[in-house]
Amino acid sequence: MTPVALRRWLDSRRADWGRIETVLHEPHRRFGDEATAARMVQDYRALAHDLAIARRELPGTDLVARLETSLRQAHLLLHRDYEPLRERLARLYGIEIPDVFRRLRAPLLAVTLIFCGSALASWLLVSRFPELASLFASERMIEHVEGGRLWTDGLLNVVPSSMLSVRIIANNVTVALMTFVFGALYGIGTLYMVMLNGAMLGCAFAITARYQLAGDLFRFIVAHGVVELSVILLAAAAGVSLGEALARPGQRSRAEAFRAAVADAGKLLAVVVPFLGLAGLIEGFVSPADIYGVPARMLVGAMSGLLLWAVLSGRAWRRDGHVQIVRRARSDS
Amino acid sequence: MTNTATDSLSLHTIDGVELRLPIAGVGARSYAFVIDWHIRALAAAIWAIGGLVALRYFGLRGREFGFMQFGVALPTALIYFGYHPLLETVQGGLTPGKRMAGLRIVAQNGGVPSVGALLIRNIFRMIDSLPVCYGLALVMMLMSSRQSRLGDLAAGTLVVFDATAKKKLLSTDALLSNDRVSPQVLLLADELLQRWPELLPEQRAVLGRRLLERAGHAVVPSNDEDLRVAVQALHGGRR
Repeated sequence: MTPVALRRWLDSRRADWGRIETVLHEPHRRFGDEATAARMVQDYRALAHDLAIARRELPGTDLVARLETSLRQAHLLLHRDYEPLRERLARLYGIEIPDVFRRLRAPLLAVTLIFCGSALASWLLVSRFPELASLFASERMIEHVEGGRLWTDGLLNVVPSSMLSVRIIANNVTVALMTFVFGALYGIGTLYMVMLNGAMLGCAFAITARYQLAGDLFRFIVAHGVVELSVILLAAAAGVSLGEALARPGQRSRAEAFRAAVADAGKLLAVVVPFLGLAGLIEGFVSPADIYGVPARMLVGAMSGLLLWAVLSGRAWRRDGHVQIVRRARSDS
Repeated sequence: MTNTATDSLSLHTIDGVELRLPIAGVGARSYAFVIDWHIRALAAAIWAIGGLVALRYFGLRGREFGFMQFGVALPTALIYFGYHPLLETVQGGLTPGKRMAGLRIVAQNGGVPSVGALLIRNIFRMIDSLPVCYGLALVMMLMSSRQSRLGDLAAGTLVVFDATAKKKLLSTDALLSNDRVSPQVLLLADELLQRWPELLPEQRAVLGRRLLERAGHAVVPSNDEDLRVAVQALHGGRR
């Protein structure tokens, strides 16, 4: 191409490149109508043509870099899968989450048994040898119990419920995510977290039982514990599935199996971790308040657990409108 | 269609155009991380110190003390731990450090990763940072052909060099603003000036002379410094 022709070409195409860049950088990048979409297809072809010229005539310039970026973005925009938000959510809650929950039943049962086993072992151990309590419980906790009261007594006199809830939610979310992520150590990290949490619970019941406070501890835990422990165990099951994907990848490569396990677990966690917010609110507002009796607390625990189970099993969405969306999504997939 | 060689991510469009994104190595990623770490550590420290000073200044105790602790500790933790997830999500795979290092996080198809992928990538920092100073992440990146840490493997992301962030590329405006020489000659002059310090004087003399002759200069300086000035003048004095 002669210098004059090249300069003329640059001059004639600059405005179009700027316009295409503006369209591609729009926040939502949505095609308003068919004409806009058709225009983008034309622009895409023109960009590919321009890039070929620029690569030949002007290698190493920012023009080549700009055109490559625009062409890549236009290609991804034109070839992406599109699903309306409502249908995406219906697919997530109606199909994907129940499927993941079903697949995780075996690891869920396994981690639940390990949790209960370590809780029982810790309870027996601390009941028989009380001096071992300091292995799983803090000095402050033990001192409170030896003084004849729970460490949670009078909690609301020190910290308001709202702040208590925020602190509890932050702590529980961290524990749940750690339990999940440590599954990448071939599942060993997750099993350690499950056993540690089980041992702490067993120890807490054993030391409170020595001072006739086990009933008070149950009274404190029952409202929020159902959801809290369920979510931690679900995160643990997801973590174990990561370990299994690494140890037994099957026909896929280890990296592919790991990525697929993370994708499944990620969907599940995105749905269940917000339940820790609910558990935190119950623990901040209901559990330390003396006005609620044991039946009310048990009812709160049962209802919150039922809600979690309904969401995981997909039953919460089985209304007429949702069923149709889910059926359509299922047939599409 | 995408294909990942050891050093770049190739994207083949339906028209057969190949777009390559060079994968960033440990050095570039560490450089970006160090910049980001300083920014978030500094921001968190400023908030924490400011909060503690305010706490002492107002002499708050008891219930108010609890409020202030919340006003200090929680935001500090949020700034420090929320820096990467928040900025990467809002800026489509970029942070100030990555921008300065010319890097960007992309999905396997070369596009902007989903919010879920970016969150997963950041959740795995818990394990990547073990035992200290991202030791596990460094080992994994050195061992991986795609320079991926565990978070990248989990989220299906890659860190690539972002061509648009390069600073030494000659701009389209520069090509058009200089009407005395052709864009091709301008491009050669730009490249020669970039490589000038690395070339031997004899090579500079040969390349400089050829360039000036192509640009139509009748007289070509023989002195090295005069030659550089002449090429620079041809280039428009930009470099």
